[in-house]
Amino acid sequence: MTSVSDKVGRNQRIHDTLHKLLEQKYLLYSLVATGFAILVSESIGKEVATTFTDWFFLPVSGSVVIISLVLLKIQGLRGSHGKAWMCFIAFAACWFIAETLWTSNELIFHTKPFPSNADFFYLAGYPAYFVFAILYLKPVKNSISKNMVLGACIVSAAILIPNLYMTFDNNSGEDKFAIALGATYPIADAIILVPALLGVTLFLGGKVNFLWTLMLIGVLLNVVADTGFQYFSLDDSYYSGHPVDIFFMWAYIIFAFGAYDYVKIFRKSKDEHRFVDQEKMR
Amino acid sequence: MEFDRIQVDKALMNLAIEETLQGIGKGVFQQVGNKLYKKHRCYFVDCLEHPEYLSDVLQEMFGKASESIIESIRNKLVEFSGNKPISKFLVHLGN
Repeated sequence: MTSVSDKVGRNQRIHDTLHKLLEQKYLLYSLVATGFAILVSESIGKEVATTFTDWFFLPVSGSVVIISLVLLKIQGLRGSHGKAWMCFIAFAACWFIAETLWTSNELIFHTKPFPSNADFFYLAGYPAYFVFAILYLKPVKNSISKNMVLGACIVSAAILIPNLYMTFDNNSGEDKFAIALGATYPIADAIILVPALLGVTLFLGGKVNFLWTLMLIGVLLNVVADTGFQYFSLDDSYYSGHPVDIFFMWAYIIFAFGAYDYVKIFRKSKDEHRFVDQEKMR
Repeated sequence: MEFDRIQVDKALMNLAIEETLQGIGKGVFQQVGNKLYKKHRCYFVDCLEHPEYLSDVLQEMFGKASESIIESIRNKLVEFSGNKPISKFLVHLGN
């Protein structure tokens, strides 16, 4: 049974997390600027939007790889979290390669970017992310209750159902393989949403909670983006640079800021040299 | 002799904390150590007298999930709970 003071404490912790989120001015500026830039390019014309968005995805997705590499250098390879961050790098690298292939297929080789070899890397990123989340949560697995897992699964399923309904209830001329492939993404998003929800619940009130809040928002943005992508693809109105791409871009930015916040936490502690003296004392 | 016993208990407790935190990650181990010093001017070995400092730092970093980490440290030390300082440490850790 939850006591009143527990509830007050939890509300205070949620309030603190939201307050920290609203304090992230650079994150807010990045999101607004990116959304605005895509909308402006889209208003100029489809071709401009496609070229701008395809190229712009490269530095944005690449920034996640770079920040996670810095993070791994600070964290080290040892322990559950060391392995977890290695998996996160694998995830970020897969999606960066996928973005590069998408851009080169569309702008250099002038072939259809979906379905294409880029999908192999997009899909390969999901197991890497899932393993990252599992390894990160592994040391605190005793705090995960069956009800928490059940709740997270219900939320994920609830988010997934409208997408599956839309996929199976369509009369699109798109080939069956493309439809099935398009539907795979929201399913994969729903699977990685489960550990993201668990992370936010588990670390509530802790400094690492901000990383998990951003991870959750990033995954949710991917759910919205993939559902939108599927909807407009079935409608035959999707093109690179479509406003729905803003959500994909925002997801990368959110992941990058989440990892950057984690770097900041650990970098601060590295400045405090007293503890290193303690290690030398042995 | 009593002095030596306290040093042994401190070493055992230090080892349990280090093993648990290093199992999570090198960065976590260092950060918890740094925060302990920064906030409470305390090293891991001093946590035998001040388990509440360790609980506080773990709570600050990991929130609710700190309970699992505390449980893991507790499990490593439970076989030495016959020693009074360790028993006292276990009673106050996480409370």
